[in-house]
Amino acid sequence: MGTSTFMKLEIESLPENESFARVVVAAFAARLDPTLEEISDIKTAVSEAVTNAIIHAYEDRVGLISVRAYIDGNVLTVEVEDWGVGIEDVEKARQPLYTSKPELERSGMGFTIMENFMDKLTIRSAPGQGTLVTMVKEIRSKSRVKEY
Amino acid sequence: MKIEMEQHRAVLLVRLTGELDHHHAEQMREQVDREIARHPSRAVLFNLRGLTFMDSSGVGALLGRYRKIDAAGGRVAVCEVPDAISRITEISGLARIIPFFNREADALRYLLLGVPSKRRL
Repeated sequence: MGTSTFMKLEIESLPENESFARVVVAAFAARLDPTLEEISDIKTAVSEAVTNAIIHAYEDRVGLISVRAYIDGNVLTVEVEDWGVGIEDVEKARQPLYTSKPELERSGMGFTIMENFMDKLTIRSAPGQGTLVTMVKEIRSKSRVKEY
Repeated sequence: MKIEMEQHRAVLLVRLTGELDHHHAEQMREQVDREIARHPSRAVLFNLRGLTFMDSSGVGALLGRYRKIDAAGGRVAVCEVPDAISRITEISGLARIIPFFNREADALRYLLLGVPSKRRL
Protein backbone atom coordinates (compact mmCIF):
# COMPACT_ATOMS: atom_id res chain seq x y z
CA MET A 1 0.00 0.00 0.00
CA GLY A 2 2.19 2.83 1.28
CA THR A 3 -0.62 5.32 0.74
CA SER A 4 -1.06 8.13 3.22
CA THR A 5 -4.45 8.08 4.92
CA PHE A 6 -4.02 10.88 7.45
CA MET A 7 -3.08 14.57 7.43
CA LYS A 8 -2.90 17.27 10.06
CA LEU A 9 -2.55 21.00 9.61
CA GLU A 10 -2.20 23.54 12.39
CA ILE A 11 -2.89 27.17 11.58
CA GLU A 12 -3.38 30.47 13.35
CA SER A 13 -6.94 31.80 13.37
CA LEU A 14 -6.29 34.43 10.68
CA PRO A 15 -8.66 35.08 7.74
CA GLU A 16 -5.90 34.56 5.15
CA ASN A 17 -5.62 30.95 6.37
CA GLU A 18 -9.19 30.11 5.28
CA SER A 19 -8.22 29.48 1.66
CA PHE A 20 -5.01 27.72 2.72
CA ALA A 21 -6.92 25.22 4.90
CA ARG A 22 -9.59 24.37 2.31
CA VAL A 23 -7.04 23.97 -0.49
CA VAL A 24 -4.89 21.63 1.62
CA VAL A 25 -7.86 19.38 2.52
CA ALA A 26 -9.07 19.38 -1.10
CA ALA A 27 -5.59 18.37 -2.27
CA PHE A 28 -5.53 15.54 0.29
CA ALA A 29 -8.98 14.36 -0.82
CA ALA A 30 -7.88 14.44 -4.48
CA ARG A 31 -6.39 10.93 -4.17
CA LEU A 32 -9.97 9.60 -3.92
CA ASP A 33 -10.52 10.97 -7.43
CA PRO A 34 -13.50 13.15 -6.49
CA THR A 35 -15.62 15.00 -9.04
CA LEU A 36 -15.29 18.77 -9.36
CA GLU A 37 -18.56 19.10 -7.48
CA GLU A 38 -17.30 16.93 -4.62
CA ILE A 39 -14.10 18.99 -4.39
CA SER A 40 -16.18 22.15 -4.31
CA ASP A 41 -18.40 20.69 -1.54
CA ILE A 42 -15.37 19.75 0.59
CA LYS A 43 -13.71 23.14 0.14
CA THR A 44 -16.91 24.96 1.09
CA ALA A 45 -17.53 22.83 4.20
CA VAL A 46 -13.93 23.23 5.42
CA SER A 47 -14.11 26.96 4.79
CA GLU A 48 -17.28 27.22 6.91
CA ALA A 49 -15.77 25.32 9.84
CA VAL A 50 -12.47 27.25 9.79
CA THR A 51 -14.26 30.60 9.42
CA ASN A 52 -16.44 29.75 12.44
CA ALA A 53 -13.32 29.08 14.51
CA ILE A 54 -11.77 32.39 13.43
CA ILE A 55 -14.86 34.55 13.96
CA HIS A 56 -16.59 32.87 16.88
CA ALA A 57 -14.12 30.69 18.79
CA TYR A 58 -11.31 33.21 19.04
CA GLU A 59 -13.24 36.44 18.37
CA ASP A 60 -10.66 39.24 18.84
CA ARG A 61 -7.64 37.09 19.59
CA VAL A 62 -5.50 34.75 17.56
CA GLY A 63 -5.53 31.09 18.54
CA LEU A 64 -4.68 27.74 17.01
CA ILE A 65 -6.93 25.75 14.72
CA SER A 66 -6.22 22.10 13.99
CA VAL A 67 -7.46 20.66 10.71
CA ARG A 68 -7.20 16.90 10.35
CA ALA A 69 -8.38 14.60 7.61
CA TYR A 70 -8.58 10.81 7.30
CA ILE A 71 -9.27 8.54 4.38
CA ASP A 72 -10.84 5.14 4.95
CA GLY A 73 -11.73 3.36 1.73
CA ASN A 74 -13.64 5.98 -0.23
CA VAL A 75 -14.75 7.88 2.86
CA LEU A 76 -13.20 11.20 3.83
CA THR A 77 -13.43 12.42 7.42
CA VAL A 78 -12.45 16.01 8.25
CA GLU A 79 -12.01 17.35 11.78
CA VAL A 80 -11.69 21.05 12.58
CA GLU A 81 -10.83 21.75 16.20
CA ASP A 82 -10.29 24.93 18.19
CA TRP A 83 -9.66 25.72 21.85
CA GLY A 84 -11.73 28.91 21.93
CA VAL A 85 -14.92 30.07 23.64
CA GLY A 86 -17.03 27.03 22.74
CA ILE A 87 -20.74 26.92 21.85
CA GLU A 88 -23.29 27.07 24.67
CA ASP A 89 -26.25 25.72 22.74
CA VAL A 90 -25.17 23.53 19.83
CA GLU A 91 -28.75 22.75 18.72
CA LYS A 92 -29.53 26.47 18.45
CA ALA A 93 -26.28 27.16 16.60
CA ARG A 94 -27.16 24.46 14.04
CA GLN A 95 -30.47 26.07 13.11
CA PRO A 96 -30.53 27.67 9.66
CA LEU A 97 -30.22 31.47 9.73
CA TYR A 98 -29.26 31.55 13.42
CA THR A 99 -26.26 33.76 14.08
CA SER A 100 -24.79 35.14 17.29
CA LYS A 101 -23.21 37.94 15.28
CA PRO A 102 -25.84 39.56 12.99
CA GLU A 103 -23.90 42.85 13.14
CA LEU A 104 -21.10 41.20 11.16
CA GLU A 105 -23.52 40.24 8.38
CA ARG A 106 -23.12 36.56 9.12
CA SER A 107 -25.71 34.64 7.15
CA GLY A 108 -26.22 32.03 9.89
CA MET A 109 -25.89 29.29 7.26
CA GLY A 110 -22.49 27.85 8.17
CA PHE A 111 -23.62 24.61 9.84
CA THR A 112 -26.47 24.21 7.33
CA ILE A 113 -23.94 24.37 4.48
CA MET A 114 -21.67 21.82 6.22
CA GLU A 115 -24.66 19.51 6.71
CA ASN A 116 -25.76 19.81 3.09
CA PHE A 117 -22.34 19.57 1.45
CA MET A 118 -21.08 16.64 3.54
CA ASP A 119 -22.87 13.39 4.44
CA LYS A 120 -22.58 13.72 8.20
CA LEU A 121 -21.84 16.52 10.65
CA THR A 122 -21.06 16.13 14.35
CA ILE A 123 -20.36 19.05 16.70
CA ARG A 124 -18.80 18.55 20.12
CA SER A 125 -18.38 21.69 22.15
CA ALA A 126 -17.88 22.85 25.73
CA PRO A 127 -18.11 26.52 26.75
CA GLY A 128 -14.67 27.87 27.59
CA GLN A 129 -12.92 24.80 26.23
CA GLY A 130 -13.43 24.70 22.51
CA THR A 131 -15.20 22.99 19.65
CA LEU A 132 -14.60 19.91 17.53
CA VAL A 133 -16.44 19.73 14.22
CA THR A 134 -16.36 16.36 12.44
CA MET A 135 -17.56 16.00 8.86
CA VAL A 136 -17.80 12.80 6.84
CA LYS A 137 -18.22 12.47 3.09
CA GLU A 138 -18.27 9.43 0.88
CA ILE A 139 -16.51 10.06 -2.42
CA ARG A 140 -18.32 8.40 -5.29
CA SER A 141 -15.35 8.35 -7.58
CA LYS A 142 -15.79 9.03 -11.28
CA SER A 143 -14.36 5.65 -12.37
CA ARG A 144 -16.71 3.78 -10.05
CA VAL A 145 -19.75 5.71 -11.24
CA LYS A 146 -19.00 4.61 -14.82
CA GLU A 147 -19.30 0.93 -13.91
CA TYR A 148 -22.87 1.26 -12.76
CA MET B 1 -9.99 38.67 -5.23
CA LYS B 2 -10.49 41.29 -7.90
CA ILE B 3 -13.30 43.82 -7.57
CA GLU B 4 -14.05 45.92 -10.64
CA MET B 5 -16.72 48.59 -10.55
CA GLU B 6 -18.09 50.52 -13.47
CA GLN B 7 -21.08 52.75 -14.03
CA HIS B 8 -23.52 51.58 -16.67
CA ARG B 9 -26.06 54.39 -17.01
CA ALA B 10 -27.89 54.36 -13.62
CA VAL B 11 -26.48 50.96 -12.60
CA LEU B 12 -23.31 50.31 -10.60
CA LEU B 13 -21.87 47.15 -12.13
CA VAL B 14 -19.67 45.15 -9.74
CA ARG B 15 -17.59 42.37 -11.29
CA LEU B 16 -16.14 39.90 -8.80
CA THR B 17 -13.24 37.62 -9.70
CA GLY B 18 -11.63 35.02 -7.43
CA GLU B 19 -12.79 33.62 -4.11
CA LEU B 20 -15.52 35.32 -2.07
CA ASP B 21 -14.86 33.97 1.44
CA HIS B 22 -14.81 35.72 4.85
CA HIS B 23 -11.36 37.18 4.17
CA HIS B 24 -12.33 38.74 0.85
CA ALA B 25 -15.95 39.53 1.75
CA GLU B 26 -14.74 42.31 4.06
CA GLN B 27 -12.79 43.88 1.23
CA MET B 28 -15.78 43.68 -1.12
CA ARG B 29 -18.12 45.14 1.52
CA GLU B 30 -15.85 48.14 2.15
CA GLN B 31 -15.27 48.98 -1.50
CA VAL B 32 -18.88 48.59 -2.61
CA ASP B 33 -20.26 50.48 0.42
CA ARG B 34 -17.87 53.36 -0.22
CA GLU B 35 -19.16 53.59 -3.79
CA ILE B 36 -22.82 53.28 -2.71
CA ALA B 37 -22.37 56.01 -0.08
CA ARG B 38 -21.67 58.45 -2.89
CA HIS B 39 -24.93 57.58 -4.68
CA PRO B 40 -27.34 56.15 -2.04
CA SER B 41 -30.32 54.87 -4.03
CA ARG B 42 -28.75 53.56 -7.19
CA ALA B 43 -29.18 50.13 -8.71
CA VAL B 44 -26.38 47.60 -8.24
CA LEU B 45 -25.60 44.55 -10.37
CA PHE B 46 -23.20 41.87 -9.15
CA ASN B 47 -21.69 39.89 -12.03
CA LEU B 48 -20.28 36.69 -10.47
CA ARG B 49 -18.86 35.12 -13.65
CA GLY B 50 -15.27 35.31 -12.37
CA LEU B 51 -15.94 33.68 -8.99
CA THR B 52 -14.26 30.29 -8.44
CA PHE B 53 -15.40 29.91 -4.83
CA MET B 54 -17.99 31.31 -2.45
CA ASP B 55 -19.03 30.27 1.06
CA SER B 56 -21.67 31.55 3.50
CA SER B 57 -19.52 34.61 4.29
CA GLY B 58 -19.85 35.63 0.66
CA VAL B 59 -23.59 35.00 0.86
CA GLY B 60 -23.76 37.21 3.98
CA ALA B 61 -21.85 40.01 2.25
CA LEU B 62 -24.10 39.93 -0.85
CA LEU B 63 -27.25 39.82 1.33
CA GLY B 64 -25.91 42.70 3.42
CA ARG B 65 -25.43 44.87 0.33
CA TYR B 66 -28.92 43.88 -0.87
CA ARG B 67 -30.57 44.85 2.43
CA LYS B 68 -28.74 48.15 2.60
CA ILE B 69 -29.55 49.17 -0.97
CA ASP B 70 -33.12 47.86 -0.77
CA ALA B 71 -33.74 49.87 2.43
CA ALA B 72 -32.50 53.00 0.65
CA GLY B 73 -34.99 52.40 -2.19
CA GLY B 74 -32.42 50.98 -4.61
CA ARG B 75 -32.39 47.73 -6.56
CA VAL B 76 -29.99 44.80 -6.65
CA ALA B 77 -29.56 41.90 -9.05
CA VAL B 78 -27.06 39.08 -9.59
CA CYS B 79 -26.01 37.64 -12.95
CA GLU B 80 -23.82 34.97 -14.58
CA VAL B 81 -23.53 32.64 -11.58
CA PRO B 82 -20.85 30.02 -12.41
CA ASP B 83 -21.49 26.29 -11.82
CA ALA B 84 -18.87 26.24 -9.06
CA ILE B 85 -21.03 28.38 -6.77
CA SER B 86 -24.56 27.63 -7.99
CA ARG B 87 -25.19 25.09 -5.21
CA ILE B 88 -24.42 27.51 -2.39
CA THR B 89 -26.61 30.21 -3.90
CA GLU B 90 -29.48 27.70 -3.91
CA ILE B 91 -28.98 26.09 -0.49
CA SER B 92 -28.36 29.41 1.26
CA GLY B 93 -31.58 30.82 -0.19
CA LEU B 94 -29.74 33.74 -1.83
CA ALA B 95 -31.33 33.01 -5.21
CA ARG B 96 -34.80 33.31 -3.69
CA ILE B 97 -34.10 36.75 -2.22
CA ILE B 98 -32.09 38.56 -4.89
CA PRO B 99 -33.25 38.40 -8.54
CA PHE B 100 -30.88 36.17 -10.55
CA PHE B 101 -30.27 36.44 -14.30
CA ASN B 102 -28.25 34.28 -16.67
CA ARG B 103 -27.33 37.20 -18.91
CA GLU B 104 -25.93 40.54 -17.89
CA ALA B 105 -28.07 42.33 -20.50
CA ASP B 106 -31.28 40.92 -18.96
CA ALA B 107 -30.20 41.96 -15.47
CA LEU B 108 -29.42 45.47 -16.68
CA ARG B 109 -32.82 45.66 -18.39
CA TYR B 110 -34.50 44.61 -15.13
CA LEU B 111 -32.59 47.22 -13.11
CA LEU B 112 -33.14 50.02 -15.60
CA LEU B 113 -36.69 49.24 -16.72
CA GLY B 114 -38.08 46.95 -14.03
CA VAL B 115 -38.51 43.92 -16.31
CA PRO B 116 -38.90 40.94 -13.95
CA SER B 117 -36.55 37.98 -13.82
CA LYS B 118 -37.55 35.31 -16.33
CA ARG B 119 -35.71 32.48 -14.77
CA ARG B 120 -34.73 32.23 -11.17
CA LEU B 121 -32.25 29.57 -10.19
